[in-house]
Amino acid sequence: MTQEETFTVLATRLPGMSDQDLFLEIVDACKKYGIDARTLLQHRPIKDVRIGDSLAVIPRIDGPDHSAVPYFAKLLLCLSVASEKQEHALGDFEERLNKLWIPQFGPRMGRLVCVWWAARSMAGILRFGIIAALVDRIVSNLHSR
Amino acid sequence: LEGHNLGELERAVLVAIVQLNGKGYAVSIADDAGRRLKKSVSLGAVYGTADRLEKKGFISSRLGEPTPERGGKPKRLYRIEAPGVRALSEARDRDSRAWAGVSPLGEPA
Repeated sequence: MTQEETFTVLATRLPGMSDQDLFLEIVDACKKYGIDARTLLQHRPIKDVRIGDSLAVIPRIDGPDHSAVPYFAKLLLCLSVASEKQEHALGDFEERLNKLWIPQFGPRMGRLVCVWWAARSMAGILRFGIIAALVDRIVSNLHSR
Repeated sequence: LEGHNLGELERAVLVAIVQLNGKGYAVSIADDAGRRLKKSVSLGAVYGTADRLEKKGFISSRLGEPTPERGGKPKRLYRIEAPGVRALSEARDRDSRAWAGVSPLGEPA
């Protein structure tokens, strides 16, 4: 594995920033970390570069040793966590998935465990929803009499 | 804050935040609180509890650095504030008062 393949780039695309400007920003970051940006971008074309909150070059995280949170778990988290805290929640689950659940249960089971815990995060909302539905039903029954 | 009753999980989360000394985020808080309560604490439970405590002014949060194992996503780091310290001390004092004069359980007084 070459050095370029072991890194990924996070960059900020500011409003109005073109692909070229973004590329230059990435090149600056790569210089800072001693990576050949042209080789890197051959492996990861500009359209595939992740757009994050900060400009940084960090060890590759999406290789075979790293798994992202399953989409269904993401959906459950987005439903149960306030929008401004969803990114941190996804990060927390990703950390748990890769450091605990996959090593403990294997990739497939680990992802299922991740979905299970995301579903458990919704337990409070579901409980509230069920109680609200019951109250609504009782009240409507009382009104109909 | 006199009379403010902290729940079991709220107390465990506050103690974990104190223990982690400004470096506590949801994963480490859930681990610490789980060890103290001797049961698994879900991240969702920590988010809900931390939200409530933050709204009460007991804790504050700030963004940490993004790290590779989190897919480049930043941590939300929590620290305890003065009202939180007071509420926690009050809860501990209340517990001590409740148990004052009681001999160890299982032994005659």
